[in-house]
Amino acid sequence: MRRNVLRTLLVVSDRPHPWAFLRDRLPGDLVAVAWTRPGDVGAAAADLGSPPWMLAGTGTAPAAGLEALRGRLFACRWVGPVPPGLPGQPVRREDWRAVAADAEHALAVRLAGLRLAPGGGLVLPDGGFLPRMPELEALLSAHPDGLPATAPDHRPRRLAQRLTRLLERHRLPLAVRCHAGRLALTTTELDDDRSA
Amino acid sequence: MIAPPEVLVLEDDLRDLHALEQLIRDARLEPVPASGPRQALARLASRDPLLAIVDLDMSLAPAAERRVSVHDVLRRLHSHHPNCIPLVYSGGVDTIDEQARVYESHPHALFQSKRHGLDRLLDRIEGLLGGHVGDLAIRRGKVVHLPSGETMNHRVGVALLTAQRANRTVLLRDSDARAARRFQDWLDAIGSCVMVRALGGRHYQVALRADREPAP
Repeated sequence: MRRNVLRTLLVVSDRPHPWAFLRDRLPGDLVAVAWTRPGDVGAAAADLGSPPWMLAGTGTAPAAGLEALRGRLFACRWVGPVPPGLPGQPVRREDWRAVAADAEHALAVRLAGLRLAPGGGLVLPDGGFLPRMPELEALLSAHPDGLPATAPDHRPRRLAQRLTRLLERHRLPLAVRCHAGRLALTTTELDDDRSA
Repeated sequence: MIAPPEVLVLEDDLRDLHALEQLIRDARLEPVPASGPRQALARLASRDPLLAIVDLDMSLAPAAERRVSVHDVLRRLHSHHPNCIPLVYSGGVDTIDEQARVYESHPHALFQSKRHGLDRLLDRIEGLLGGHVGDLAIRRGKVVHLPSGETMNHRVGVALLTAQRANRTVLLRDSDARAARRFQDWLDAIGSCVMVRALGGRHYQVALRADREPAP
């Protein structure tokens, strides 16, 4: 079975219409749009191989089967009332147009020359390519707000350190900060300015 | 001599099947015709097509052919032929519910409505198998570097370019991964603006070299 290595927005909904709407609206070279019904969401998430770049859904049924995604970094949008048991802290949206706008904005983020590469991975300011790195891609897309770090232990802090070391290795003026239960990608120049 | 890329055609209307076969042959590709789902599954046991043109409606196929369904064919393509791009050419894909049913059998299937006719289907096939990627194109089943006119008869190269046109990756066996490196060597030698990227897990894609991409 083919595991998906492409950056993926996973749609959770009883009906396929949000999937078709996002599939037709978002740039297919940057993100693949997958769809699952709420009852099948665990299998769909496992099939992705890595966490989705973004999870977007609707419906009030408890989201069973998403335990594997708990503590992982990805954006989450929810249309309508948010059901219990969702991993992360979903951002509630009024309709799918707002979700599409969020996704479009997230796909276009460019920070210190770093941007999402088509398919997966990141393009470095010098034109180099950083292969598939879902956490960093999710954090870049979530700039400047960052993402909730929901793991209860030291994992978020260790992840921030690991990603910051990677950014330093590529001489990028960026760092991942862990603060107030969130992880965020920030520019180090700004930090330097603040500390000066 | 490398055999041209294969295209599976599953079409129960024999007149349309022959027309599609000819169209594919004209593009210097190898048609693999099937007039029913059972025949298509039999063909897939020994063939590995790059593209599959699939009609959903099999009402003209003999009853014996319909003991398996088109969705069985789509599921087989998804599970056993990861680099094959299914193009569902049917009168039955005009609604989102119909597309969703296909999605459940093959989540990467593309759609082309039969209502728009064979000419539009030809455009779509040409877009997939003949479109440009940077300074490269596929012509008559070969990769062509357009500025120099240099050609390479490279199966993996053709698969990579076709996958890029469909926003897909190519999953390669270890031996084919070496072929991907040879393809990259050729791209370097001719000074192409296209490069091969390894995405991990033996998945590959072609991309424009960022230093030669148009400014955003």
